[in-house]
Amino acid sequence: MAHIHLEDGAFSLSWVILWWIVALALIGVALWFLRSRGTRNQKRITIAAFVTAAAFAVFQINIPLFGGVHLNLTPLIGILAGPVLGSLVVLIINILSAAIGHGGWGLVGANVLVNLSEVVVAFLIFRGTKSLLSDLFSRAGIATFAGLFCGNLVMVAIILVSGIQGVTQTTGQVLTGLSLIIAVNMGVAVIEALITGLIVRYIGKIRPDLLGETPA
Amino acid sequence: MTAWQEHRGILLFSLIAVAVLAGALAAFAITGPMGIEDRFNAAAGIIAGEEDAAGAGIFGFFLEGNLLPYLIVLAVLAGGSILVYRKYRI
Repeated sequence: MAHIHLEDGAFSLSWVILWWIVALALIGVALWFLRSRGTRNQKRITIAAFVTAAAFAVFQINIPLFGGVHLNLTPLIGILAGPVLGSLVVLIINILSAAIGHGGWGLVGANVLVNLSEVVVAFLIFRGTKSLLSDLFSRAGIATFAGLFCGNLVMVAIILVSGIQGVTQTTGQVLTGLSLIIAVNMGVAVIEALITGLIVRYIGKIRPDLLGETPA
Repeated sequence: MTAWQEHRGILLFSLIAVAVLAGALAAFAITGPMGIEDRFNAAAGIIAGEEDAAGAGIFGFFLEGNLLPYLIVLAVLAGGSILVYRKYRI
């Protein structure tokens, strides 16, 4: 559940704009890819709509674990909707979250990049382990761990590169503190991996075509 | 398929889960109980000002953000999902 939980003003304006530009550029690539394919995958679009609603609902709920955390379901988005539609889903969720007061508008661009890395890595690991691992639960669970770990690394990288305005901490001190956040976040990833694994296994039993596991 | 091949996925998953849980518990022991924002502020060295008190919530679960907009947005997303499902009938 990587998400930059800093308030507006933590990053300088130039970094806020840069992360927004990079995020929108990647979303632009996703839109171009969707248009260039010419055909609409109706299954993926429908699944994307449902995971958007589900992830938005879960994303806002603070869970009393390790002092307070929330789930993202971004690896599930990647596995079910794929990286192209998934990128649009994370943009929508981050914008809607900011709109209801969860997170600052200035950090939407950076958080889209964090979540997008989770979506892409989870998708790739899930697909890449098809020939190595036989059961869907462990494939989805391991993909979730990998995706969320990567998201945490991207989150830390963005914070360290951007720098935080008005603090006297050294980079080393910030890195130490953020490393502890990664460790706590990965504890929560266990719950997210279990949930994702169970959902994917269930879908795999009743509608394997929705996972792209069998020809539709 | 051998037993090892059949179960290596769940074994690997369990191994990762145990390792990250151990790491999380160690980190939690160092930082102590903190909310998400507090944890970030402490890591970044930000001195937090007066924060809005979180909603009371239920059994420690509470909503980040405002309840009414949350319910409205969620209803729109759920309604939109149902419309898409009815349109495409996947």
